[in-house]
Amino acid sequence: MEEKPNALNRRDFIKKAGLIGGALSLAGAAGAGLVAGSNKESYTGWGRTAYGGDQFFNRRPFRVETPTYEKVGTPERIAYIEDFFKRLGELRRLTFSRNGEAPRWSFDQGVDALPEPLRSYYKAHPGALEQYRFAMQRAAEQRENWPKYKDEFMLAQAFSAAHASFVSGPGAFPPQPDGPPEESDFRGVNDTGLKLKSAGHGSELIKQVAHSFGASLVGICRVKEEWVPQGFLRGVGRTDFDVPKHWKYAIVVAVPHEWDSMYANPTYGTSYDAYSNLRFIVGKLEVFVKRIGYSARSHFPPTSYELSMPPLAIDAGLGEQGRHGVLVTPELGANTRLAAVTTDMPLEVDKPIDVGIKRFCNKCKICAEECPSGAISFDDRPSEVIRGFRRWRIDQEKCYTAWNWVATSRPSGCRVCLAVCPYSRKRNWIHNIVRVADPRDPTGLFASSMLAMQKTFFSYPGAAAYLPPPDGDNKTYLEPPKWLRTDEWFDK
Amino acid sequence: MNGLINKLFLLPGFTLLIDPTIMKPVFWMAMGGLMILFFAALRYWFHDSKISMNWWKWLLAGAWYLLLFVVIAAAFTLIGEREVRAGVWFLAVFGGLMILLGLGLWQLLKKV
Repeated sequence: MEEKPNALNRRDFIKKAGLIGGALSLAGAAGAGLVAGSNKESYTGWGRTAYGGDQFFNRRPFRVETPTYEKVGTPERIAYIEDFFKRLGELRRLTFSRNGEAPRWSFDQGVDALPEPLRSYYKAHPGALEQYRFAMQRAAEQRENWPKYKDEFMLAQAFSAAHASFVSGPGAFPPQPDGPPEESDFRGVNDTGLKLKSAGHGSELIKQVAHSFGASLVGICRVKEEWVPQGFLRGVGRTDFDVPKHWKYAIVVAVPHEWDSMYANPTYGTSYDAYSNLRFIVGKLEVFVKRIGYSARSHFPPTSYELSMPPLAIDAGLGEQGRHGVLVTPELGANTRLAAVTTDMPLEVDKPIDVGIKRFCNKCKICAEECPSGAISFDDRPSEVIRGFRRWRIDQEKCYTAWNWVATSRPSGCRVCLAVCPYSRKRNWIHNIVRVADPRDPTGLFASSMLAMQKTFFSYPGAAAYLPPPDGDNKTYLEPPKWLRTDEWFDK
Repeated sequence: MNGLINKLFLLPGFTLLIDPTIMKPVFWMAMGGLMILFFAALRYWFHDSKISMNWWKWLLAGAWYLLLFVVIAAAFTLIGEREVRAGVWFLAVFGGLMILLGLGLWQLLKKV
């Protein structure tokens, strides 16, 4: 049969349909990419947490015997006064009026008028007290400026206030230890008489339960003496103490901040969302461990710790310490907040990992470039020996200055270094390729090319831009989500 | 418009229709169908353009198409993550590179 000249034959039909199909498939690639990028399901820690689905990175090939922190001398425990928040607490007790009494110290009286151990500390750290004074001046400015910003950040303030609502006061959870650890940590321990099948069983059980309580990541390590600060013990107060014998193991848990508010740093949210999650997780874990017959003490943010968390988490195989001092994990990047439970329950410990994060930090420096206070070191390599370990120094007083300076919904908060860290990324195909390929590349070329793209393609506001006018423009790293923008929901 | 969308959600089976657990595999099956159609048509296009194809030429053409697919998907993933500048730059640099590679490949397919 002859073909009609004007009719579309089968061949032409397939040729044209194929072209359209090819174009549609590429459009499908764009659509799939958009969905993969914008999909909230790929925000780790806010989905499949309960069944351990957040801990998706295969750590087995990267387990090492020696942790990635660099031990170069004799480790020393952190003295009470070297802990920034403890030091801050001491200063605040002196500088603010209490019970109607006049403040016991003012900046004009100088370092010599400070009581010990503050006097010795600030004499040994010249400039730190002046920096603290500068921070207090910024805090006063921030309080004065707040009426200008309170409408804009009303939702962010409400979000943070809700998360912070049970940190102190009668509804605080978990309850603080009462009395020495030898009493407090054993109070409520169930004398089951049941024998755990093995330490391996103990670890597997605890990890599953911790995930079910909401922990994104769980690791277990022995408690080393050098990670236990000296000079203050909850339930007892200021005292020098030996590490209690029953603090054999630490169950270390990690969760992320809510990702959209974290990316909209520094003004749309504070750290309290992750803090509140952690408090519930380790508070419940403490009760659980006691009910199955072992001592337990929870250590949780913002300041209720007898442990230095980042090195402990390194020992527990969760990640490595970044240039900014924060633990960086393969799953959560720098958006990692930590808490722990110490116990004498027989547990099998995890090994530390080396996935090249520290080497990447040597080159990257984005957090240092973006830090509004200049608190993060620009040194090419960790350059200071601090308590027996070579590391980058974080200028705590400078960091605290930015907390008080930025127009946060709640004074004292800045998490820009978490937001801009190239490791703080979603769990989707494009970042998973990097997660798999980067630590397996012995040449470092992959990491270098990723960093080159990061610095060329991505935009960063610049350190000063995060500050309020006139110093900056209240910029955030990414735009705030709709649900945190007051103008989306309220008329002015 | 919102009222219409709300009514759609009340239709029996509608939520199942947009449920990602069913739509994800359906989407990728449809994508597979489109790609098969594209490569089936490509045979005729090459034939009509007097380009003789063999296994390694098909392999190169397939690899180029796959790379283009990945570049587009990656760029739009970044845009979806609200890293619009990064996505556009990625598309410009690597999309441009893919066009150049495509032109080179076309010449190679024609000459050999």
